Amino acid sequence: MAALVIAAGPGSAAAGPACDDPIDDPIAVPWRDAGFDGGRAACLGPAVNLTVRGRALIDAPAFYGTLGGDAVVGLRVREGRHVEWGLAARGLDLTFLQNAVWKVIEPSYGPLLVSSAVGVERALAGRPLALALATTIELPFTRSQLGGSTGAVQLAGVATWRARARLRLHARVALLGWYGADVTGATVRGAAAASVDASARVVRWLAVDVGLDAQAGWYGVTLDHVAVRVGARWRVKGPWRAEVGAGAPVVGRERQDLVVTLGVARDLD
Amino acid sequence: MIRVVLVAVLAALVLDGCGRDSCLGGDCEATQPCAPLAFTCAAPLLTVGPVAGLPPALALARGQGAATDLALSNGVVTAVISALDAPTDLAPTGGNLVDLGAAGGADDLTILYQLAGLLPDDAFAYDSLEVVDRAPAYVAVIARGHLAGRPAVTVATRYELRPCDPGLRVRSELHNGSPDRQVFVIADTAHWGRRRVLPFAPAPGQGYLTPTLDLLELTALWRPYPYVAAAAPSPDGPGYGVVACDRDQVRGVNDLELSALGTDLEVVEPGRGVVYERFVVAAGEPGGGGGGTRAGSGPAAAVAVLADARQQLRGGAAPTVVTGRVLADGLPFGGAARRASLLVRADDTAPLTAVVPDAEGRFTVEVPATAPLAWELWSFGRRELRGAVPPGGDLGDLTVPAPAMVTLHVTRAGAPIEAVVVVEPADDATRDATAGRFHGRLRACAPWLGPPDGASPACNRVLVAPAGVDVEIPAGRYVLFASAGPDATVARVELQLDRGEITGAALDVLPVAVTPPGWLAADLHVHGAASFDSGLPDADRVRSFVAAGVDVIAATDHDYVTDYAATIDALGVSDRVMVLGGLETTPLIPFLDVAGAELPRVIGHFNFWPITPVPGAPRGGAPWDELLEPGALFDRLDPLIGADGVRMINHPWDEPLFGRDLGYLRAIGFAPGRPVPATPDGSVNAALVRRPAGGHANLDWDAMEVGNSAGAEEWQKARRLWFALASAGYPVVGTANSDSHGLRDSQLGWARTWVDTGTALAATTPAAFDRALKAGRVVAGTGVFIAVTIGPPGAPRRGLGLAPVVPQPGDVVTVEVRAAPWIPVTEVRAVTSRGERVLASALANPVDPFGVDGVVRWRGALPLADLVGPADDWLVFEAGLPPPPYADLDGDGVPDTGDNDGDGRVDGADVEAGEDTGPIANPPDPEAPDDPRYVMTRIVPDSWPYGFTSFLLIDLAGDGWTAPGATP
Repeated sequence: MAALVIAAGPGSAAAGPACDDPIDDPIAVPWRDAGFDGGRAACLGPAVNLTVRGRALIDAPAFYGTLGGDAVVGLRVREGRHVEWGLAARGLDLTFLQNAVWKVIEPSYGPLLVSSAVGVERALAGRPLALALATTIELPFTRSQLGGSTGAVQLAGVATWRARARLRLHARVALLGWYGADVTGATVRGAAAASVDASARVVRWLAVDVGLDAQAGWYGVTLDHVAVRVGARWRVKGPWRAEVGAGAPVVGRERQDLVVTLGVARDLD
Repeated sequence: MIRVVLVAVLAALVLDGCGRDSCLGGDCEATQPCAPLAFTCAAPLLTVGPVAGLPPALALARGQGAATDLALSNGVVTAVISALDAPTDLAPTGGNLVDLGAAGGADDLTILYQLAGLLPDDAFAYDSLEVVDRAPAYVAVIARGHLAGRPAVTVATRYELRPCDPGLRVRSELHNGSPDRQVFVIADTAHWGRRRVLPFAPAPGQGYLTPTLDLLELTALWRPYPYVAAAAPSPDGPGYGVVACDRDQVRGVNDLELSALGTDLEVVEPGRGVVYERFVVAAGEPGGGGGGTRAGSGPAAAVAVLADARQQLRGGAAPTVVTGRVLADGLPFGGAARRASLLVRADDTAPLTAVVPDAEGRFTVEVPATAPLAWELWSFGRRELRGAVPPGGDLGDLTVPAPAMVTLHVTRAGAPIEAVVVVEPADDATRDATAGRFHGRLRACAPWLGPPDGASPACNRVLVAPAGVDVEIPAGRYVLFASAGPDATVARVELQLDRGEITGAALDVLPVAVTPPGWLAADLHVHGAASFDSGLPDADRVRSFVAAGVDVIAATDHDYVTDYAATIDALGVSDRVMVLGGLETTPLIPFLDVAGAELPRVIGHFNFWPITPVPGAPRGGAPWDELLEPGALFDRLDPLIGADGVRMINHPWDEPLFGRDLGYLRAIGFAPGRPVPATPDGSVNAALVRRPAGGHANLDWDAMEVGNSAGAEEWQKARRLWFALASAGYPVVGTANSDSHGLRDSQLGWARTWVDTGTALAATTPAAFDRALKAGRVVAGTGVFIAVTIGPPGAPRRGLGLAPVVPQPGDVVTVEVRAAPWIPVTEVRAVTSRGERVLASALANPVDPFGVDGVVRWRGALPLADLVGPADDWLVFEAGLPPPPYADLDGDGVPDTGDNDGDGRVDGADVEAGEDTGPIANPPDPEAPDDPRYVMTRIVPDSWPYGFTSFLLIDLAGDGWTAPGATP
């Protein structure tokens, strides 16, 4: 990321800004619980959002499977031109788990996630480029299950490059860390992740996004997944926008088979 | 900011995951499960160490702990934890509770092992055992490991025994180190096996009447209980029980097959865990079993401890004590479940406890303080009295009808013998007045003379010793039948018995010449108390061998090597029966992937003999038989059975039981109409010729159990498979055996296998017997013997045997069918790969089924050329009644459905609702005395008369026998 900042030239206004409408952002398709690993654009911007996500894990042996859905409300605020703070809360998580003998529906709520980002505007090959360092942290002791704790963090560098007037390319490299602990012990996991997305403005009010997401290390010293994702964002009315997206792994040991997301947001600036 | 958050995260991790009182995440020594419990006793002691070092006074009768297993004892209870390399029963490793009882008393536990779910992957698999000796404070064994199929889910169990504790304090932990959310419980699973220990659950409508376990409905069946107890309905067994220490209730399921009790279903997030603490109780009489210091036996002794423990853990009022005495004709009446068994209920709904009064008729039970309470008293399987428990709990004297006392003697031509006497109501009034069950559980019998799966008298059957036996029978009019096996007549006497009457009955049977000299009658599939699913004491088991007139027994307990040697010596019957030590391998952990099957399978049951028991060795010397295909299992058993030993595939198409396959050919979906390839080629039958460990192929058995028990259904299923494999080039000897587990389920010796050793029993060695068996000099069935010779008329050249028959010009086959007059035979058949040919039909049965005339049912001499076709073939003779109508509705080549609606044809209307086929069952026993099966089914319930010979392999050209190919 530092190299990219250095390599990139000063910001250019000639082609317009790298970030002018959040519908050009990539669709965040998280793979890990509570979504701390979700991607983002390098663009900073205040907004409130409500996102509903669904996930499926089907494991043929022993008929193990989970179907889950959660709803997350989030708030992002900007402090000056280069800093953004965020807070998100998973209000409800419903998970249906089954194997050959059990079938259980588990409701829960939490956790809280805080995020921050520091961004700059640059140019690359004469085109506008936004760069940011972003952090997402799942706060321990904010889940409904008592008697233990879970925490997670994502440290990411992200870039958004306006390659064409209607085309933005997004890139992200990230480190993921997670722990879960209770009286029976602790488990830690970590992974490295990278993703690229292309977001094209099809019409003035609609952008479509396709992306690849790669992750390694979560399931051990191995490739977790290379996943594809597709989505769309559209301006509904005024500051209101909506999004829909889905992702599925195509390579690797990823346990999740499908993630879908549906959201609505209101921009605050 | 980031730095602060990271520090906070790390701090939380440290605070949450480390330094706690935890066996997985902290200090196991500090956990102290069930800390509020405290018990006192006169002479505290503690010991922990290998079973081999356990003082005899603390050891458990009937315990199966190996010398290297770990024993914990405090002089009140003794517990045995299996060594890591000595897994038993359902558990994938050692580290489980395999014996538990009052110190110096008896053990009735097969296993209590931990699991996180009911799938094989979710069993606790332990990697290490740690012995902790902190005497005089406590002793403990700590087992650590992971789930069998999920290495990332770590587990630990601490078994702790403190001075004076009447049970083990157990703490189990599980940590989900996997990346997935999982549904987990921690539960102790006790494998009861249906015929010994019965769970007793204090819930409305339950008590002994636990719902049937349906694995597909497990979530709904997983319900809470304040405690659960269990006990065998015999006076010498301990009572067991469990109460949770760290929660108000245990949750789980209870079934005659098993109980699984522990925590509620819980979605366990990655990084989180489950902890479960409980108190596992064993209550009994030190040195004798029974009810300990509280009068009476059954679950009540355990329930009393559980009620006390719950009060210590949860507070509340002291347990309620209920006392009383049972009388009959003014005399104390207790000491056995048949005489009296008292149930105490809460508010007339939920049974709380049950007790068998002691020999003086007295009982004392304690239940958690509840009001109002009600009681009911059962005698001879019937609820005779009921009422409300008065304030103070003293029920006073309770009087039940006195039975008659009958002294039975059975003679054979005047000489006292061991025999079976069956008591049958002579009229409907007596049947209605005496039909009973054990608290509404287990098999119904009329009269109900004792628990059907226990010692004699069991159900309506009595083992009679040469010196005679006293038996209590409720008043009524009866017919008594005496039998000493198929080589004797059945004796009959009618009795009118009044309440309290003391009388006698003598029955004399006469010999009939069914079994020729030089042939030995064998039952090669027999279970006793060493099997997890048998409640029959060894002494009665051995007496049943003699009473059935069987010469040779293969002792084939599930996964345990026995030979009854001590009991045979004690009873002095070593000249009457030869017992070959052996075992029935009984895999319980599904692992075998079969094409088209949704869940993994096990390989079914195989018998092996002879095997010498190894006292002190795990499983009595039996190797671990899980996770092996048959070929690998055969390789493993070869050194134990030797060159003359026998490998037998049992009930090859039997239906699975609680998800475990019983028959290998059914498990792999063997297709009897298709060929068996010479080498594995991916075809449906290719599994048979695979050599999983490089040695034996999966079909390298020496014998197939074609007849299993006395009914027709297993015989009719298995004979198709036996024929098909012979046609495919794999002929082996066929046997028929009882698979008896008690005195009522399957009658010992029915079916049986006759083997032509050419010698009397005294001159026969095990090796000679096994060689004759494997050579195919065998007739098998339910009392119908078929003598066969081949050769010139009047000068037979040979008899039965698998050595190919090379026909000579003029050869005839002589066939003689013999059976005792009380066994009906109306048809004789010859069977080849080309089909069946009825040689005789509508044969008349003897006029007097109780007489000695008419043993020879049919005799014929047929040109051998008339029986065989133009090519090499196999030939089998069968006799008996025509087989019941069974049909193969699913077209897999094996009968699957009977005429269940009795309309004379088998079709879709006979199929059970919701099923595609079945059931297939033996026709009901007739009630009309003039039915040809009437007498036989009194002696051998659920029976069908049949007999069959082993294969004759016809080698027409003398150039070596060629298999005829797949049977149509």
